[in-house]
Amino acid sequence: MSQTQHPDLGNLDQQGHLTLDPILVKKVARLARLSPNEQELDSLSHELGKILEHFQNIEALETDNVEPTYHPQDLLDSVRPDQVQPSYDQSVFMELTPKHKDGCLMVPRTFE
Amino acid sequence: MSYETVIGLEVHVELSTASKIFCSCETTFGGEPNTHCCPVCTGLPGALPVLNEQVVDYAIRTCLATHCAITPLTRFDRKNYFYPDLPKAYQISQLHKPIGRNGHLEIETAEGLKKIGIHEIHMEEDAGKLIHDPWEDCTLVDYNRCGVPLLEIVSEPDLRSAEEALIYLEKLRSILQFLGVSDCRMEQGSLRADVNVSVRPVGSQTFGTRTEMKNMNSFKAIGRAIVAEAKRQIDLIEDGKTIKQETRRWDENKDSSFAMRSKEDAMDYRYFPDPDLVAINITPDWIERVRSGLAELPESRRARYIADWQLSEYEAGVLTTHPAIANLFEETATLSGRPKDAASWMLGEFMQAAKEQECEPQDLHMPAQSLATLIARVAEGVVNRNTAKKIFTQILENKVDPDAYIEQNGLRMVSNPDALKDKIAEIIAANPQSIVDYKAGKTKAMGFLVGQVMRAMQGKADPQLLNELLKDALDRA
Ligand SMILES: [Zn+2]
Repeated sequence: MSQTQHPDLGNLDQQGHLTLDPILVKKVARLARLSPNEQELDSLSHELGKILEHFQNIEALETDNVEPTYHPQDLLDSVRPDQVQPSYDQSVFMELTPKHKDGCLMVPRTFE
Repeated sequence: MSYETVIGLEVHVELSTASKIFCSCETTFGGEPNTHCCPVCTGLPGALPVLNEQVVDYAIRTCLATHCAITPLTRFDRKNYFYPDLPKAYQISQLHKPIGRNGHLEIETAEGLKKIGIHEIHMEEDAGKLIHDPWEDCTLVDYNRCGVPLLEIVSEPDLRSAEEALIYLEKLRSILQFLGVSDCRMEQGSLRADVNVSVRPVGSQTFGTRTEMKNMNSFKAIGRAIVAEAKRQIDLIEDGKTIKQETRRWDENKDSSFAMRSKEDAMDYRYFPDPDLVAINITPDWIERVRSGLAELPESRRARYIADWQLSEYEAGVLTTHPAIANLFEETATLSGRPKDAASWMLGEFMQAAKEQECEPQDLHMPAQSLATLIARVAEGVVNRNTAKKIFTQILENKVDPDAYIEQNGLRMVSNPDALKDKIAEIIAANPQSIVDYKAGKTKAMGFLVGQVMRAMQGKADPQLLNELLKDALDRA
């Protein structure tokens, strides 16, 4: 597929494969709270480019008359009645966290 | 140049279900930290959320009352962001197929009825509570509130002033309370609003750049924040500066807002359909079932009070501000057969007590049967109105039974002319100056003597009879 469909994604390499713009890769990494080094950034640009190329192939299919598939199963209405069941003991959650105080989990200071 | 303010509101309301939206933990406010929690609401690996059917029922009720079109196949999406109040690192919410769309509410403004569009209503889960610990300089996390069901009701930017925004909020709150879907206790955070504000020159058809103030939980603060933000934006424009699209925080103590984050740094939530949850098929049958059980809304009750019980527009309006007030009034009116008296007690003593105790009306102890009995005893002449007021306070404060209290404390009204005449003679004899004043045409003297007799009789005298007999005695003195 041609890159003109998504000119803002990146460039084509010598083999004609999509290489993701490193700025875009950095943004995605930041959203996932990852900090790849330069070498990892380079390989991620290629790998993510390939994945997106695949999606571009899929996009080329005619899907105007196809219902979107949100879920692989046809299950509907999986609900439960509004009834309270006992919760877990507070100590369970305290044991799962490295630091706690007064029954609360303790995390680094959060702004906002 | 003159400007107009454009306001849109995103109202988050906690639903009053017994259990959380995707697990069976209780939703009770407060409690010891992290005691209403399980693997689902704390996002432990492998836990599977299952939707609480009551949440859908409540959402359908709200959609019906706000004239929203209900989405037949409604679905949940994941809204991804990292924040310690969200243990899964995503909030289960609705983006692509919210349960309701394109509704409206009619509000009464000074210029008449105005239709405020409702863009959409969606179901989602609440987040946990963060507490700053100044001693350790860290953040403490309590997940009790995490997973409590929320409805987000998003208005169109149709509101044009702080007054309109508050009228809309009050109307929405009373509808939610009458529907029984939420108690809307703002002090407990069960109703919160994100407020979007922009300004534009009067007559302009395009919107200005908007700012958002998140998580506001008092009507007073919302009103002041809108006024202050509109002024800030107009000042910027007049100074030739531009308005930045940003999230601002309102500081109630400083009566001003400050920027939190700007658009450039805006969250990218990367929404996608939640694979853990399946679609909900809201059939016409389901909608009809909910519709047939829908509580009578304030507007209809108000009309009924005016038509059936000859109450004034004002009286009916106040009585329908909260379901607890309306229900107590209706029950008392029916039990006593005296709707006018019931309205008078509700608007007077009851509202006064709620105001003095700074509590929600449903938190006051006032059984309809007690109030109806009290009204009946006044009408029958068993006690006078003043004594009845004291009994009313006793019911509120000490949960007394009115009839038993009247007997135990000998509060029956004294309507025996002989008993009254004796007391009157005593008081007149003790206050010769008052008789001189009365004869000199000072009507105040009469009031003074009525008070003296009343006091001597512990307030139990039949006031009408006392007036007649006293006047008679004075004229003959
Ligand atoms: Zn739970």
